[in-house]
Amino acid sequence: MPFWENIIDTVLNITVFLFIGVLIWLYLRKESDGHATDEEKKHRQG
Amino acid sequence: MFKNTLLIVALALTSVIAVWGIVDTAGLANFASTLVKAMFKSRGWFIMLTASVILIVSIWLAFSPYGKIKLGKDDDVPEFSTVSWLTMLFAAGMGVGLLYWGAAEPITHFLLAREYTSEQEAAALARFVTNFHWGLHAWAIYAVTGLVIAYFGFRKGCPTLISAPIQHVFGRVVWTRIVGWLSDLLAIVAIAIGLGGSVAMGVFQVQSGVESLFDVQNTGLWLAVVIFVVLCVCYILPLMVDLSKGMAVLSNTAMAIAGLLMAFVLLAGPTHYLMGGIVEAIGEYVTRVLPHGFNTYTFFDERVGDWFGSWTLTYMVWWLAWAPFVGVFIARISKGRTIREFMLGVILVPTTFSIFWFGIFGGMGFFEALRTDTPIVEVVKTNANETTFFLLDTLPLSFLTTVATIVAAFLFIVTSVVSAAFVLAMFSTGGDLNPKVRVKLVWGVILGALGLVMILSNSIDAVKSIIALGALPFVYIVLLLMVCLLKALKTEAR
Repeated sequence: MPFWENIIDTVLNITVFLFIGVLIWLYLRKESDGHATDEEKKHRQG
Repeated sequence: MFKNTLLIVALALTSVIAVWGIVDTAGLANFASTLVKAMFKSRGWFIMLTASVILIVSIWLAFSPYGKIKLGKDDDVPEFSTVSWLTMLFAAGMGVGLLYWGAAEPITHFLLAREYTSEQEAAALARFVTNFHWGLHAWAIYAVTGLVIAYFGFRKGCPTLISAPIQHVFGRVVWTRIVGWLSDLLAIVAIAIGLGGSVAMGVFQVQSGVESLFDVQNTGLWLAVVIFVVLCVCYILPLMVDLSKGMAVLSNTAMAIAGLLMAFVLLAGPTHYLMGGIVEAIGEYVTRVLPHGFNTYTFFDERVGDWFGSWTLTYMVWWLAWAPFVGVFIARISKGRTIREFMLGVILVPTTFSIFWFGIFGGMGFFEALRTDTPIVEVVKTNANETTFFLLDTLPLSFLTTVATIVAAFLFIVTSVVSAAFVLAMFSTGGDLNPKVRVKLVWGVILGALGLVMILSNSIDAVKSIIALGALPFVYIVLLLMVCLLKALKTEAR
């Protein structure tokens, strides 16, 4: 594989790895209740 | 203002692509093909992984405790009976693509596969790969997108926008506004370009049908353009007046014609051969589908690599292009269903239908290729558009079935363009469920212009590359939407 082609391939794949990392982080991080609907808030308060 | 900006940018972007394509068709086709090839080479693994993960998550959602959650309030009941709902899902899955590729696709794969193995094994492999392209993975992509739209729309009261789940789950902060805005824009571009490609494919199909009917050859672009103009006249009227019920009738008519055609070919053709093939296809599909979803053909030569990019990867990206459009449709008819019913209905029923469709049309193609002297293989090699009509010609009542196929293809395109113009107008006006006529008309014109671009390219490969280019960024959005859904379900279960 030519040098520059290999570099571009690596860079493109690194962006994918970063994206997967961001998705996992977004899934795991805790959200505040600020944007829950009123119904959801009531439900959680019992 | 923000919403208007989206409309203006979306219109400008799609118009630039349309004008570029009309002024320099070959240039756009080359640009799309080079870029898509490079993207597929470096990210092919990611596209396959995405499709497989979406399928696995879909199956898990159906059987997990979340499966009991309703798409709507807890006391909502389904708007349509289960039979009508399943029929409408058929209609969403049945498009001009199935009419076009029914026999041509399996034979195309067969031509390559037989260079690596025996003809019998090549035929079985070609049949499996075709079912793989149109089966569970495709419908899982539609199902997850539709589920996100239905869940956040009916249960959480969000507007019907791709950006709505992102802002609902992560709040209305700067990054969600930007990502949400980009998601809406990318969805609009993916739908517009995907539909343009579908229009071109439909016009090529109708053109071949007319040529076959009147026994004329090589009519060139002029007939395609005439068909295109008639098509534009037919879809502009429904955009100006509310003909939603009329559109449903036209869509059901197209669906009924396709169903009758399938039954006719099964009964008039070699029935035992076709049924034998369908039973084999079901067996091999069930046993191989999940592992094959992770297959990237890494150890094969460049020829197979190119085939993988121009077929399997293109299809996966193609389903992503259509996902926001089909997702909105299946979400709208699924209010009141549980997640389990939704996932199983949307994924299993159309997949089963596709296996039968390709089992009959593809099986008929294999019968002609392997058991007779008809030049079906040459027809597929030289002009795939003619394959369906060539096969119908080998059966009785070919005049009638050819006319029926032309009518069905025409109706499928008209109803698709009208529905797509509605969805595009809705997305570009902040989720307005009754978008203004002039916005729908503008989208109708742009869809027509994009269709014309692809017709002028006069190449189905160019059409596939342009669609893939428009849809590639949407891979990321679908995954983000899936994360939003999983987070929201987790929160609701707490």
